[in-house]
Amino acid sequence: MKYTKPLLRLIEEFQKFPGVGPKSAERMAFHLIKQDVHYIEGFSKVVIEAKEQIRKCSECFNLSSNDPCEICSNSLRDKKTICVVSEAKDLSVVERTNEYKGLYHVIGGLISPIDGIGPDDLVIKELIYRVSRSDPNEIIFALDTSTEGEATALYLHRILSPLCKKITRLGFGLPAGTELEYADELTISRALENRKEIV
Amino acid sequence: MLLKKLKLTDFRNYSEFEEDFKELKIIIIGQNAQGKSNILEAINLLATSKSERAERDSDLIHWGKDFALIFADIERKDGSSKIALQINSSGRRKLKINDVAKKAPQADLLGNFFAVMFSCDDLYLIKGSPSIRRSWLDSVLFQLDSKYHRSLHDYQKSISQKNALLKSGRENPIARKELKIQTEIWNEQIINSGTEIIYTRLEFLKEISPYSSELLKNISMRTEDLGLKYLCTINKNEMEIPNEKTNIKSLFKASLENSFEEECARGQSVIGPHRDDLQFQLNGREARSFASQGQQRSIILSLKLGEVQVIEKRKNEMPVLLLDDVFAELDEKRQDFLLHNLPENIQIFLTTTHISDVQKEFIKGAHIIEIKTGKIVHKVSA
Repeated sequence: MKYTKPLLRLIEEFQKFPGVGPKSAERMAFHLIKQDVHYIEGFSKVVIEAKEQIRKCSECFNLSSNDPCEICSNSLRDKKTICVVSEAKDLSVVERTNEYKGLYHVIGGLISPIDGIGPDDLVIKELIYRVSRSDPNEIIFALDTSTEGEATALYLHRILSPLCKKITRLGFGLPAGTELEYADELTISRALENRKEIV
Repeated sequence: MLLKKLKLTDFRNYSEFEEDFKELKIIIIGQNAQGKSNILEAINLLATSKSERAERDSDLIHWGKDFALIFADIERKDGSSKIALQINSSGRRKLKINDVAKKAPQADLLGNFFAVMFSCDDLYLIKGSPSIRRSWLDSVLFQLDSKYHRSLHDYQKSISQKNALLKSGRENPIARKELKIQTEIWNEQIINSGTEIIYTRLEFLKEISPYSSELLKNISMRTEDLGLKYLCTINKNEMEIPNEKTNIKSLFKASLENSFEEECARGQSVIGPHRDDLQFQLNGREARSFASQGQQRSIILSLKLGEVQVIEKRKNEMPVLLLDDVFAELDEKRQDFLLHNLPENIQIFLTTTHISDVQKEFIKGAHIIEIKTGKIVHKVSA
Protein backbone atom coordinates (compact mmCIF):
# COMPACT_ATOMS: atom_id res chain seq x y z
CA MET A 1 0.00 0.00 0.00
CA LYS A 2 1.18 3.50 -0.79
CA TYR A 3 1.27 6.10 1.96
CA THR A 4 -0.35 9.50 1.60
CA LYS A 5 2.04 12.18 0.43
CA PRO A 6 2.72 14.09 3.69
CA LEU A 7 3.47 10.80 5.47
CA LEU A 8 5.78 9.73 2.66
CA ARG A 9 7.61 13.04 2.93
CA LEU A 10 8.05 12.57 6.68
CA ILE A 11 9.42 9.04 6.20
CA GLU A 12 11.85 10.35 3.60
CA GLU A 13 13.09 13.02 5.98
CA PHE A 14 13.80 10.47 8.71
CA GLN A 15 15.58 8.26 6.23
CA LYS A 16 18.14 11.02 5.71
CA PHE A 17 19.32 10.52 9.31
CA PRO A 18 22.55 8.57 9.69
CA GLY A 19 21.97 4.90 10.43
CA VAL A 20 18.22 5.06 9.73
CA GLY A 21 16.87 2.68 7.11
CA PRO A 22 13.39 2.62 5.52
CA LYS A 23 11.86 0.43 8.26
CA SER A 24 13.08 2.56 11.17
CA ALA A 25 12.09 5.72 9.31
CA GLU A 26 8.60 4.33 8.95
CA ARG A 27 8.41 3.51 12.66
CA MET A 28 9.59 6.98 13.65
CA ALA A 29 7.12 8.68 11.33
CA PHE A 30 4.20 6.63 12.67
CA HIS A 31 5.26 7.34 16.24
CA LEU A 32 5.31 11.06 15.59
CA ILE A 33 1.94 11.09 13.83
CA LYS A 34 0.31 9.37 16.80
CA GLN A 35 1.31 12.16 19.21
CA ASP A 36 -0.96 15.15 19.89
CA VAL A 37 -0.29 18.59 18.47
CA HIS A 38 1.14 19.99 21.74
CA TYR A 39 3.79 17.39 21.83
CA ILE A 40 4.72 18.06 18.21
CA GLU A 41 4.94 21.80 18.90
CA GLY A 42 7.17 21.18 21.89
CA PHE A 43 9.31 18.80 19.88
CA SER A 44 9.76 21.27 17.02
CA LYS A 45 10.71 23.93 19.52
CA VAL A 46 13.38 21.72 21.06
CA VAL A 47 14.87 21.11 17.62
CA ILE A 48 14.88 24.78 16.68
CA GLU A 49 16.32 25.86 20.04
CA ALA A 50 19.05 23.27 19.78
CA LYS A 51 19.96 24.54 16.36
CA GLU A 52 19.88 28.18 17.48
CA GLN A 53 21.74 27.76 20.73
CA ILE A 54 24.38 25.23 19.87
CA ARG A 55 27.45 26.59 18.18
CA LYS A 56 31.04 25.69 17.92
CA CYS A 57 33.53 26.78 20.56
CA SER A 58 36.00 29.11 18.86
CA GLU A 59 38.88 27.51 20.78
CA CYS A 60 38.35 23.76 20.47
CA PHE A 61 35.44 23.55 17.97
CA ASN A 62 33.39 21.36 20.28
CA LEU A 63 29.63 21.85 20.15
CA SER A 64 28.45 24.09 22.99
CA SER A 65 25.98 26.82 23.82
CA ASN A 66 28.74 28.92 25.33
CA ASP A 67 31.82 30.29 23.66
CA PRO A 68 34.40 29.40 24.87
CA CYS A 69 32.82 26.06 25.82
CA GLU A 70 32.45 24.62 29.33
CA ILE A 71 35.69 22.67 29.01
CA CYS A 72 37.85 25.47 27.59
CA SER A 73 36.60 27.93 30.24
CA ASN A 74 37.01 25.51 33.16
CA SER A 75 39.93 26.82 35.24
CA LEU A 76 40.56 23.34 36.74
CA ARG A 77 41.45 21.80 33.38
CA ASP A 78 45.07 21.36 32.36
CA LYS A 79 45.54 24.01 29.69
CA LYS A 80 48.87 22.56 28.58
CA THR A 81 47.48 19.31 27.17
CA ILE A 82 45.40 19.05 24.00
CA CYS A 83 43.57 15.91 22.91
CA VAL A 84 42.77 15.87 19.19
CA VAL A 85 39.57 14.06 18.19
CA SER A 86 37.76 13.70 14.90
CA GLU A 87 34.17 14.43 15.94
CA ALA A 88 32.37 15.92 18.96
CA LYS A 89 30.96 12.48 19.76
CA ASP A 90 34.52 11.13 20.14
CA LEU A 91 35.21 13.93 22.60
CA SER A 92 32.34 12.81 24.79
CA VAL A 93 33.67 9.25 24.70
CA VAL A 94 37.02 10.38 26.10
CA GLU A 95 35.30 12.74 28.52
CA ARG A 96 33.15 9.95 29.96
CA THR A 97 36.25 8.16 31.23
CA ASN A 98 36.76 10.97 33.79
CA GLU A 99 40.48 10.28 33.39
CA TYR A 100 41.42 13.08 31.09
CA LYS A 101 41.78 16.56 32.54
CA GLY A 102 43.19 18.49 29.61
CA LEU A 103 41.59 20.34 26.70
CA TYR A 104 40.34 19.09 23.32
CA HIS A 105 40.44 20.00 19.69
CA VAL A 106 37.75 18.71 17.30
CA ILE A 107 39.05 18.63 13.73
CA GLY A 108 35.66 17.69 12.26
CA GLY A 109 36.50 14.56 10.27
CA LEU A 110 39.38 12.56 8.85
CA ILE A 111 41.52 13.01 5.76
CA SER A 112 39.94 10.98 2.95
CA PRO A 113 40.76 12.00 -0.64
CA ILE A 114 38.11 9.58 -2.00
CA ASP A 115 35.45 11.65 -0.26
CA GLY A 116 37.17 14.85 -1.30
CA ILE A 117 38.31 15.64 2.24
CA GLY A 118 41.81 17.07 2.47
CA PRO A 119 43.57 18.80 5.39
CA ASP A 120 42.12 22.16 4.31
CA ASP A 121 38.59 20.85 4.81
CA LEU A 122 39.30 20.05 8.46
CA VAL A 123 39.91 22.36 11.42
CA ILE A 124 43.67 21.92 11.17
CA LYS A 125 44.89 25.46 10.45
CA GLU A 126 43.18 26.59 13.63
CA LEU A 127 44.89 23.78 15.53
CA ILE A 128 48.33 24.81 14.25
CA TYR A 129 47.64 28.40 15.25
CA ARG A 130 46.37 27.30 18.65
CA VAL A 131 49.41 25.11 19.31
CA SER A 132 51.92 27.79 18.27
CA ARG A 133 50.13 30.30 20.52
CA SER A 134 49.51 28.17 23.61
CA ASP A 135 52.70 26.04 23.51
CA PRO A 136 51.22 22.83 25.01
CA ASN A 137 53.35 20.26 26.84
CA GLU A 138 51.59 17.38 25.15
CA ILE A 139 49.27 16.71 22.23
CA ILE A 140 47.36 13.42 22.26
CA PHE A 141 45.75 11.94 19.15
CA ALA A 142 42.56 10.01 19.89
CA LEU A 143 41.65 9.05 16.31
CA ASP A 144 40.20 5.96 14.62
CA THR A 145 42.61 3.14 13.80
CA SER A 146 41.24 2.98 10.24
CA THR A 147 43.54 3.83 7.30
CA GLU A 148 41.98 7.30 7.25
CA GLY A 149 42.54 7.76 10.99
CA GLU A 150 46.15 6.63 10.64
CA ALA A 151 46.74 8.97 7.70
CA THR A 152 45.28 11.90 9.63
CA ALA A 153 47.45 11.13 12.67
CA LEU A 154 50.56 10.91 10.46
CA TYR A 155 49.72 14.20 8.78
CA LEU A 156 49.10 16.02 12.06
CA HIS A 157 52.30 14.59 13.45
CA ARG A 158 54.26 15.94 10.48
CA ILE A 159 52.74 19.38 10.82
CA LEU A 160 52.81 19.67 14.61
CA SER A 161 56.10 18.03 15.54
CA PRO A 162 58.13 21.25 15.01
CA LEU A 163 55.74 23.01 17.38
CA CYS A 164 55.36 20.55 20.23
CA LYS A 165 57.92 18.22 21.79
CA LYS A 166 55.60 15.53 23.05
CA ILE A 167 53.05 14.09 20.65
CA THR A 168 51.34 10.86 21.68
CA ARG A 169 48.50 8.64 20.51
CA LEU A 170 46.15 6.28 22.25
CA GLY A 171 47.71 2.84 22.84
CA PHE A 172 46.60 -0.21 20.89
CA GLY A 173 45.68 -3.05 23.13
CA LEU A 174 43.21 -5.61 24.30
CA PRO A 175 39.67 -4.49 24.95
CA ALA A 176 39.06 -4.35 28.69
CA GLY A 177 37.22 -7.20 30.38
CA THR A 178 37.40 -9.59 27.42
CA GLU A 179 38.79 -13.07 27.20
CA LEU A 180 42.02 -13.38 25.26
CA GLU A 181 40.73 -16.14 23.00
CA TYR A 182 38.05 -13.86 21.56
CA ALA A 183 40.42 -11.09 20.49
CA ASP A 184 41.34 -11.09 16.81
CA GLU A 185 44.92 -11.65 15.69
CA LEU A 186 45.57 -8.07 14.67
CA THR A 187 44.52 -6.76 18.06
CA ILE A 188 46.71 -9.29 19.81
CA SER A 189 49.75 -8.64 17.62
CA ARG A 190 49.37 -4.90 18.21
CA ALA A 191 48.94 -5.46 21.93
CA LEU A 192 52.10 -7.56 21.84
CA GLU A 193 54.00 -4.76 20.13
CA ASN A 194 52.77 -2.35 22.78
CA ARG A 195 53.29 -4.64 25.73
CA LYS A 196 54.14 -3.15 29.10
CA GLU A 197 56.34 -4.16 31.96
CA ILE A 198 54.42 -4.97 35.12
CA VAL A 199 55.29 -2.40 37.73
CA MET B 1 39.52 -32.71 4.90
CA LEU B 2 36.17 -33.68 3.43
CA LEU B 3 33.19 -31.80 2.18
CA LYS B 4 30.43 -34.06 3.49
CA LYS B 5 27.43 -32.07 2.38
CA LEU B 6 26.69 -29.14 0.15
CA LYS B 7 23.44 -27.27 -0.10
CA LEU B 8 22.84 -24.34 -2.41
CA THR B 9 19.81 -22.11 -2.51
CA ASP B 10 19.35 -19.58 -5.31
CA PHE B 11 23.01 -19.80 -6.16
CA ARG B 12 23.68 -19.09 -9.86
CA ASN B 13 21.34 -21.34 -11.86
CA TYR B 14 20.40 -23.53 -8.86
CA SER B 15 17.20 -22.71 -7.05
CA GLU B 16 17.88 -25.73 -4.84
CA PHE B 17 20.75 -28.19 -4.75
CA GLU B 18 21.49 -30.63 -1.98
CA GLU B 19 23.85 -33.57 -1.94
CA ASP B 20 25.78 -35.70 0.53
CA PHE B 21 29.29 -36.76 -0.36
CA LYS B 22 30.59 -39.81 1.40
CA GLU B 23 33.07 -40.68 -1.32
CA LEU B 24 36.52 -39.30 -2.07
CA LYS B 25 35.76 -39.02 -5.77
CA ILE B 26 32.79 -37.08 -7.07
CA ILE B 27 32.16 -36.77 -10.80
CA ILE B 28 29.71 -34.17 -12.03
CA ILE B 29 28.53 -34.79 -15.58
CA GLY B 30 26.54 -32.44 -17.75
CA GLN B 31 26.41 -30.63 -21.05
CA ASN B 32 27.83 -27.13 -21.30
CA ALA B 33 26.02 -24.36 -19.42
CA GLN B 34 24.01 -26.73 -17.20
CA GLY B 35 25.68 -25.62 -13.94
CA LYS B 36 28.57 -28.03 -13.35
CA SER B 37 31.14 -25.34 -12.73
CA ASN B 38 28.77 -23.42 -10.48
CA ILE B 39 29.03 -26.22 -7.93
CA LEU B 40 32.82 -26.01 -7.92
CA GLU B 41 32.60 -22.23 -7.78
CA ALA B 42 30.48 -22.46 -4.62
CA ILE B 43 32.93 -24.91 -3.03
CA ASN B 44 35.92 -22.75 -3.93
CA LEU B 45 34.17 -19.68 -2.55
CA LEU B 46 34.06 -21.37 0.86
CA ALA B 47 37.83 -21.70 0.77
CA THR B 48 38.90 -18.37 -0.73
CA SER B 49 35.96 -16.11 0.13
CA LYS B 50 35.94 -14.95 -3.50
CA SER B 51 34.94 -16.13 -6.92
CA GLU B 52 37.24 -16.05 -9.90
CA ARG B 53 34.32 -15.77 -12.27
CA ALA B 54 31.99 -13.28 -10.60
CA GLU B 55 32.77 -9.61 -10.75
CA ARG B 56 30.47 -8.84 -7.87
CA ASP B 57 28.49 -10.83 -5.33
CA SER B 58 25.19 -10.12 -7.06
CA ASP B 59 26.43 -12.18 -10.05
CA LEU B 60 26.27 -15.25 -7.80
CA ILE B 61 22.59 -14.89 -7.02
CA HIS B 62 19.85 -16.66 -8.97
CA TRP B 63 18.16 -14.25 -11.35
CA GLY B 64 15.44 -12.23 -9.63
CA LYS B 65 16.30 -13.35 -6.07
CA ASP B 66 17.64 -11.20 -3.24
CA PHE B 67 20.18 -13.58 -1.81
CA ALA B 68 21.94 -16.90 -2.28
CA LEU B 69 22.78 -19.42 0.42
CA ILE B 70 25.63 -21.90 0.65
CA PHE B 71 25.55 -24.53 3.42
CA ALA B 72 28.40 -26.92 3.90
CA ASP B 73 29.30 -29.68 6.35
CA ILE B 74 33.03 -30.03 6.63
CA GLU B 75 34.99 -32.77 8.30
CA ARG B 76 38.48 -31.96 9.47
CA LYS B 77 41.08 -33.75 11.54
CA ASP B 78 40.19 -31.60 14.51
CA GLY B 79 36.45 -32.07 14.21
CA SER B 80 33.62 -31.04 11.97
CA SER B 81 32.09 -27.70 11.23
CA LYS B 82 28.97 -26.33 9.61
CA ILE B 83 29.30 -23.27 7.44
CA ALA B 84 26.33 -21.15 6.39
CA LEU B 85 27.05 -18.26 4.05
CA GLN B 86 24.44 -15.82 2.83
CA ILE B 87 25.33 -13.70 -0.18
CA ASN B 88 23.15 -10.64 -0.58
CA SER B 89 22.59 -8.54 -3.66
CA SER B 90 23.63 -5.49 -1.63
CA GLY B 91 27.14 -6.98 -1.42
CA ARG B 92 26.92 -7.55 2.33
CA ARG B 93 27.40 -11.13 3.39
CA LYS B 94 26.33 -13.01 6.48
CA LEU B 95 28.27 -15.92 7.88
CA LYS B 96 27.54 -18.50 10.54
CA ILE B 97 30.00 -21.15 11.58
CA ASN B 98 28.51 -23.89 13.76
CA ASP B 99 25.46 -21.67 14.18
CA VAL B 100 27.49 -18.79 15.59
CA ALA B 101 27.18 -15.55 13.63
CA LYS B 102 30.55 -14.06 12.65
CA LYS B 103 31.33 -10.38 12.61
CA ALA B 104 33.59 -10.32 9.55
CA PRO B 105 32.00 -12.63 6.95
CA GLN B 106 34.89 -12.32 4.49
CA ALA B 107 37.82 -12.73 6.83
CA ASP B 108 36.18 -15.16 9.27
CA LEU B 109 35.30 -17.56 6.47
CA LEU B 110 38.97 -18.05 5.60
CA GLY B 111 40.92 -20.84 7.25
CA ASN B 112 37.93 -23.12 7.82
CA PHE B 113 38.11 -24.98 4.55
CA PHE B 114 40.88 -25.47 2.01
CA ALA B 115 40.54 -26.09 -1.71
CA VAL B 116 42.68 -26.10 -4.80
CA MET B 117 40.86 -25.20 -8.00
CA PHE B 118 42.22 -26.38 -11.31
CA SER B 119 40.13 -25.34 -14.29
CA CYS B 120 40.71 -25.09 -18.02
CA ASP B 121 40.92 -21.31 -17.54
CA ASP B 122 44.10 -21.81 -15.54
CA LEU B 123 46.06 -22.05 -18.77
CA TYR B 124 45.70 -18.27 -18.81
CA LEU B 125 47.89 -18.20 -15.72
CA ILE B 126 50.88 -18.27 -18.02
CA LYS B 127 49.52 -16.48 -21.06
CA GLY B 128 47.13 -14.02 -19.47
CA SER B 129 47.57 -10.64 -17.83
CA PRO B 130 49.49 -10.10 -14.57
CA SER B 131 46.23 -9.56 -12.67
CA ILE B 132 45.33 -13.24 -13.22
CA ARG B 133 48.60 -14.33 -11.62
CA ARG B 134 48.18 -11.92 -8.70
CA SER B 135 44.65 -13.18 -8.21
CA TRP B 136 45.94 -16.77 -8.07
CA LEU B 137 48.54 -15.83 -5.46
CA ASP B 138 45.88 -14.02 -3.45
CA SER B 139 43.45 -16.93 -3.51
CA VAL B 140 46.09 -19.34 -2.18
CA LEU B 141 47.41 -16.92 0.41
CA PHE B 142 43.94 -16.06 1.71
CA GLN B 143 43.76 -19.71 2.74
CA LEU B 144 47.28 -20.05 4.06
CA ASP B 145 47.76 -16.87 6.03
CA SER B 146 45.06 -15.25 8.10
CA LYS B 147 46.88 -11.89 8.12
CA TYR B 148 47.15 -11.71 4.33
CA HIS B 149 43.49 -10.84 3.72
CA ARG B 150 43.72 -7.99 6.18
CA SER B 151 46.96 -6.65 4.72
CA LEU B 152 45.56 -6.74 1.19
CA HIS B 153 42.39 -5.01 2.31
CA ASP B 154 44.32 -2.23 4.07
CA TYR B 155 46.71 -1.94 1.16
CA GLN B 156 43.96 -1.57 -1.43
CA LYS B 157 42.21 1.01 0.70
CA SER B 158 45.36 3.12 1.05
CA ILE B 159 46.06 2.79 -2.68
CA SER B 160 42.59 4.05 -3.63
CA GLN B 161 42.95 6.97 -1.20
CA LYS B 162 46.34 7.84 -2.63
CA ASN B 163 45.07 7.54 -6.21
CA ALA B 164 42.19 9.89 -5.37
CA LEU B 165 44.71 12.34 -3.92
CA LEU B 166 47.07 12.15 -6.90
CA LYS B 167 44.16 12.55 -9.30
CA SER B 168 42.82 15.61 -7.50
CA GLY B 169 46.37 16.96 -7.33
CA ARG B 170 46.51 16.79 -11.10
CA GLU B 171 43.13 18.44 -11.58
CA ASN B 172 43.52 21.22 -8.99
CA PRO B 173 47.25 21.74 -8.60
CA ILE B 174 48.32 22.37 -5.02
CA ALA B 175 51.80 23.20 -3.78
CA ARG B 176 54.23 20.35 -4.57
CA LYS B 177 55.50 20.31 -1.01
CA GLU B 178 52.00 19.96 0.43
CA LEU B 179 51.10 17.24 -2.08
CA LYS B 180 54.26 15.40 -1.09
CA ILE B 181 53.37 15.45 2.62
CA GLN B 182 49.84 14.29 1.89
CA THR B 183 51.13 11.51 -0.37
CA GLU B 184 53.58 10.35 2.24
CA ILE B 185 50.91 9.77 4.87
CA TRP B 186 49.36 7.19 2.54
CA ASN B 187 52.75 5.87 1.46
CA GLU B 188 53.65 5.06 5.03
CA GLN B 189 50.64 2.74 5.32
CA ILE B 190 51.17 1.41 1.79
CA ILE B 191 54.72 0.46 2.77
CA ASN B 192 53.54 -1.32 5.93
CA SER B 193 50.76 -3.42 4.43
CA GLY B 194 52.55 -3.73 1.06
CA THR B 195 55.64 -5.18 2.71
CA GLU B 196 53.52 -7.84 4.41
CA ILE B 197 52.01 -8.74 1.03
CA ILE B 198 55.35 -8.95 -0.80
CA TYR B 199 56.98 -10.89 2.03
CA THR B 200 54.11 -13.41 2.27
CA ARG B 201 54.10 -13.93 -1.51
CA LEU B 202 57.87 -14.47 -1.60
CA GLU B 203 57.77 -16.96 1.26
CA PHE B 204 55.02 -18.89 -0.48
CA LEU B 205 56.88 -19.00 -3.79
CA LYS B 206 59.97 -20.21 -1.99
CA GLU B 207 57.87 -22.95 -0.41
CA ILE B 208 56.02 -24.13 -3.52
CA SER B 209 59.03 -23.97 -5.90
CA PRO B 210 60.76 -27.22 -4.90
CA TYR B 211 57.48 -29.19 -4.99
CA SER B 212 56.40 -27.91 -8.38
CA SER B 213 59.90 -28.19 -9.80
CA GLU B 214 60.14 -31.79 -8.79
CA LEU B 215 56.71 -32.54 -10.23
CA LEU B 216 57.60 -30.94 -13.57
CA LYS B 217 60.84 -32.88 -13.70
CA ASN B 218 58.84 -36.07 -13.22
CA ILE B 219 56.31 -35.28 -15.98
CA SER B 220 59.05 -34.35 -18.43
CA MET B 221 61.40 -37.25 -17.76
CA ARG B 222 63.69 -34.77 -16.02
CA THR B 223 64.17 -32.56 -19.07
CA GLU B 224 62.24 -29.53 -17.87
CA ASP B 225 63.20 -27.26 -15.05
CA LEU B 226 60.64 -24.84 -13.56
CA GLY B 227 61.48 -21.44 -12.17
CA LEU B 228 59.07 -19.08 -10.38
CA LYS B 229 60.27 -15.51 -10.37
CA TYR B 230 58.47 -12.75 -8.53
CA LEU B 231 58.70 -9.53 -10.52
CA CYS B 232 58.64 -6.77 -7.98
CA THR B 233 57.87 -3.23 -9.13
CA ILE B 234 59.62 -1.73 -6.12
CA ASN B 235 62.76 -3.36 -7.43
CA LYS B 236 63.36 -1.79 -10.83
CA ASN B 237 67.06 -2.60 -10.89
CA GLU B 238 66.21 -6.29 -10.68
CA MET B 239 68.31 -6.78 -7.61
CA GLU B 240 67.74 -9.80 -5.43
CA ILE B 241 64.62 -9.01 -3.41
CA PRO B 242 65.60 -8.92 0.24
CA ASN B 243 64.00 -11.54 2.42
CA GLU B 244 63.86 -9.47 5.58
CA LYS B 245 60.82 -7.30 6.14
CA THR B 246 62.89 -4.32 7.26
CA ASN B 247 64.92 -4.44 4.04
CA ILE B 248 61.83 -4.72 1.86
CA LYS B 249 60.47 -1.70 3.71
CA SER B 250 63.49 0.46 3.01
CA LEU B 251 63.57 -0.60 -0.64
CA PHE B 252 59.86 0.18 -0.92
CA LYS B 253 60.37 3.57 0.69
CA ALA B 254 63.25 4.52 -1.59
CA SER B 255 61.32 3.40 -4.69
CA LEU B 256 58.26 5.42 -3.74
CA GLU B 257 60.49 8.42 -3.17
CA ASN B 258 61.92 8.00 -6.68
CA SER B 259 58.53 7.51 -8.32
CA PHE B 260 56.88 10.54 -6.73
CA GLU B 261 57.15 12.73 -9.84
CA GLU B 262 55.96 9.96 -12.12
CA GLU B 263 53.02 9.21 -9.83
CA CYS B 264 52.04 12.88 -9.80
CA ALA B 265 52.28 13.10 -13.58
CA ARG B 266 50.17 9.97 -14.12
CA GLY B 267 47.77 10.67 -11.28
CA GLN B 268 48.03 7.14 -9.87
CA SER B 269 50.18 4.77 -7.84
CA VAL B 270 52.61 3.08 -10.20
CA ILE B 271 54.62 0.79 -7.94
CA GLY B 272 53.76 -1.77 -5.29
CA PRO B 273 52.40 -5.31 -5.03
CA HIS B 274 49.22 -4.28 -6.91
CA ARG B 275 51.44 -3.99 -9.99
CA ASP B 276 53.75 -6.93 -9.32
CA ASP B 277 53.84 -10.02 -11.47
CA LEU B 278 54.97 -13.61 -11.44
CA GLN B 279 57.09 -15.10 -14.18
CA PHE B 280 57.14 -18.80 -15.02
CA GLN B 281 60.45 -19.95 -16.40
CA LEU B 282 61.16 -23.15 -18.26
CA ASN B 283 64.80 -24.12 -18.31
CA GLY B 284 65.65 -20.53 -17.48
CA ARG B 285 63.60 -18.95 -20.27
CA GLU B 286 60.24 -17.21 -20.03
CA ALA B 287 57.58 -19.90 -20.35
CA ARG B 288 55.05 -17.47 -21.80
CA SER B 289 57.07 -17.14 -25.01
CA PHE B 290 59.19 -20.27 -25.04
CA ALA B 291 57.03 -23.08 -23.67
CA SER B 292 54.79 -25.06 -26.03
CA GLN B 293 51.08 -25.55 -25.28
CA GLY B 294 51.84 -28.96 -23.86
CA GLN B 295 54.68 -27.68 -21.70
CA GLN B 296 52.45 -24.89 -20.39
CA ARG B 297 49.88 -27.48 -19.39
CA SER B 298 52.57 -29.44 -17.57
CA ILE B 299 53.66 -26.32 -15.71
CA ILE B 300 50.12 -25.54 -14.54
CA LEU B 301 49.64 -29.16 -13.51
CA SER B 302 52.84 -29.07 -11.45
CA LEU B 303 51.80 -25.78 -9.94
CA LYS B 304 48.38 -27.03 -8.84
CA LEU B 305 49.75 -30.26 -7.39
CA GLY B 306 52.41 -28.20 -5.64
CA GLU B 307 49.67 -26.03 -4.20
CA VAL B 308 48.02 -29.13 -2.73
CA GLN B 309 51.29 -30.08 -1.06
CA VAL B 310 51.98 -26.64 0.39
CA ILE B 311 48.50 -26.38 1.89
CA GLU B 312 48.74 -29.91 3.26
CA LYS B 313 52.11 -29.22 4.82
CA ARG B 314 51.35 -25.83 6.28
CA LYS B 315 47.84 -26.57 7.51
CA ASN B 316 48.27 -30.26 8.28
CA GLU B 317 44.99 -30.77 6.49
CA MET B 318 44.44 -32.11 2.97
CA PRO B 319 42.67 -29.56 0.74
CA VAL B 320 39.80 -30.59 -1.51
CA LEU B 321 40.76 -30.67 -5.18
CA LEU B 322 38.38 -29.14 -7.72
CA LEU B 323 39.01 -30.20 -11.31
CA ASP B 324 36.86 -28.17 -13.63
CA ASP B 325 36.74 -29.67 -17.09
CA VAL B 326 40.49 -30.27 -17.17
CA PHE B 327 40.55 -33.78 -18.58
CA ALA B 328 39.43 -32.51 -21.96
CA GLU B 329 42.49 -30.23 -21.92
CA LEU B 330 45.04 -32.82 -20.82
CA ASP B 331 46.39 -35.59 -23.00
CA GLU B 332 46.56 -39.15 -21.74
CA LYS B 333 50.11 -38.82 -20.47
CA ARG B 334 49.28 -35.82 -18.34
CA GLN B 335 45.99 -37.33 -17.15
CA ASP B 336 47.95 -40.37 -16.01
CA PHE B 337 50.47 -38.20 -14.29
CA LEU B 338 47.77 -36.23 -12.48
CA LEU B 339 45.99 -39.37 -11.28
CA HIS B 340 49.17 -41.02 -10.09
CA ASN B 341 50.50 -38.01 -8.24
CA LEU B 342 47.44 -37.33 -6.15
CA PRO B 343 47.68 -37.99 -2.44
CA GLU B 344 45.66 -41.01 -1.41
CA ASN B 345 43.20 -39.39 0.95
CA ILE B 346 42.34 -36.33 -1.11
CA GLN B 347 38.73 -35.58 -1.95
CA ILE B 348 38.23 -34.65 -5.59
CA PHE B 349 35.32 -32.98 -7.35
CA LEU B 350 35.56 -33.34 -11.09
CA THR B 351 33.33 -31.93 -13.81
CA THR B 352 33.18 -33.24 -17.33
CA THR B 353 30.88 -33.18 -20.35
CA HIS B 354 31.58 -36.80 -21.26
CA ILE B 355 32.30 -39.60 -18.84
CA SER B 356 34.41 -41.12 -21.60
CA ASP B 357 36.94 -38.29 -21.09
CA VAL B 358 37.63 -39.64 -17.62
CA GLN B 359 39.98 -42.50 -17.04
CA LYS B 360 38.31 -45.78 -16.03
CA GLU B 361 40.56 -46.06 -13.02
CA PHE B 362 39.23 -42.80 -11.67
CA ILE B 363 35.58 -43.70 -12.20
CA LYS B 364 35.95 -46.76 -9.98
CA GLY B 365 34.33 -46.07 -6.63
CA ALA B 366 33.25 -42.56 -7.60
CA HIS B 367 29.97 -40.89 -6.79
CA ILE B 368 28.53 -39.69 -10.09
CA ILE B 369 25.83 -37.07 -10.50
CA GLU B 370 24.40 -35.75 -13.71
CA ILE B 371 23.28 -32.15 -13.93
CA LYS B 372 20.74 -30.63 -16.29
CA THR B 373 19.59 -27.00 -16.10
CA GLY B 374 20.50 -26.65 -12.45
CA LYS B 375 19.01 -29.95 -11.26
CA ILE B 376 20.37 -33.37 -10.45
CA VAL B 377 18.80 -35.72 -13.00
CA HIS B 378 20.72 -38.90 -12.34
CA LYS B 379 22.87 -40.40 -9.61
CA VAL B 380 25.20 -43.36 -9.42
CA SER B 381 26.80 -44.23 -6.10
CA ALA B 382 29.57 -46.67 -5.63
